[in-house]
Amino acid sequence: MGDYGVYVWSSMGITIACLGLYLIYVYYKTK
Amino acid sequence: MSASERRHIKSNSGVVMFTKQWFAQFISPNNVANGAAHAWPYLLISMLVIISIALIWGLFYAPSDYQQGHAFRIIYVHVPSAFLSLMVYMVMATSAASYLIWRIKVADQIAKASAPVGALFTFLALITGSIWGKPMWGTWWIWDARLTSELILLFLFLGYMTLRDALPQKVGALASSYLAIVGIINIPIIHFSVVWWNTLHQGPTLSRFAKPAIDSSMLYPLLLMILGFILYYACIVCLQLRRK
Repeated sequence: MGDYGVYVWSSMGITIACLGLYLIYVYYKTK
Repeated sequence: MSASERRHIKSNSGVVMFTKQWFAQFISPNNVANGAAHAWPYLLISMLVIISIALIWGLFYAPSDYQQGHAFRIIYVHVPSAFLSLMVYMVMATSAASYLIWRIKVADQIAKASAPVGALFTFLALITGSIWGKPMWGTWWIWDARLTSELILLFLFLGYMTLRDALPQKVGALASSYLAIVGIINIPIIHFSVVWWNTLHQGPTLSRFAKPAIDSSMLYPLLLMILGFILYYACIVCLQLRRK
């Protein structure tokens, strides 16, 4: 990813983490 | 009126009545809850598969941009988040209008379930756009028309949730539905902001009326990612509808 790796991986990481955590939260809240 | 005309009207009103009854049964809270309880695992699995394929494709197999290098790969999360933020608001406002006009309870539940996930997509669009903006524009944030209107969308989602929770159940549902309908004016402003004003944000990548401003080798993983995000949204809504 060259010089921009940190930007690419951080944006991917934040997105996947937020979506995953919210999915888990909704699953347990509505269980 | 002749006998045949009377028969025609009678049979016609019978069809209308049957359709109305069928539709009322179809969207009844129990029926929807059952459907959602069966649908969400399939939505979850297909979403995981599609997002995994799109991520690997976009990150490792799509070619890098000749100007932005690998930084352009942020679009694989930024564009789907931004697209879904607008789509979710449209669904929320349409559901709110259906609730106000026809008092469809399921529509109100869909609007209620959509608001937090819409706020999450808007937040992610702003954050990932900001992370892209730092290396490309040299700044994390600028009061550009596209960025500002997207920030207003986040406030609309948060306002909807706050208004709903602050008031008693029925009044909150009605008041927040009106807010969702009024806020829909922001959607064309966001979409056309890059056309109407001279913004720092680039023009539309995908448009209904023009050839995409992106090569197909980069476009296909992006479209796949958008599909994955739509399935994620559907999964979240089904999870919340299943026990209501």
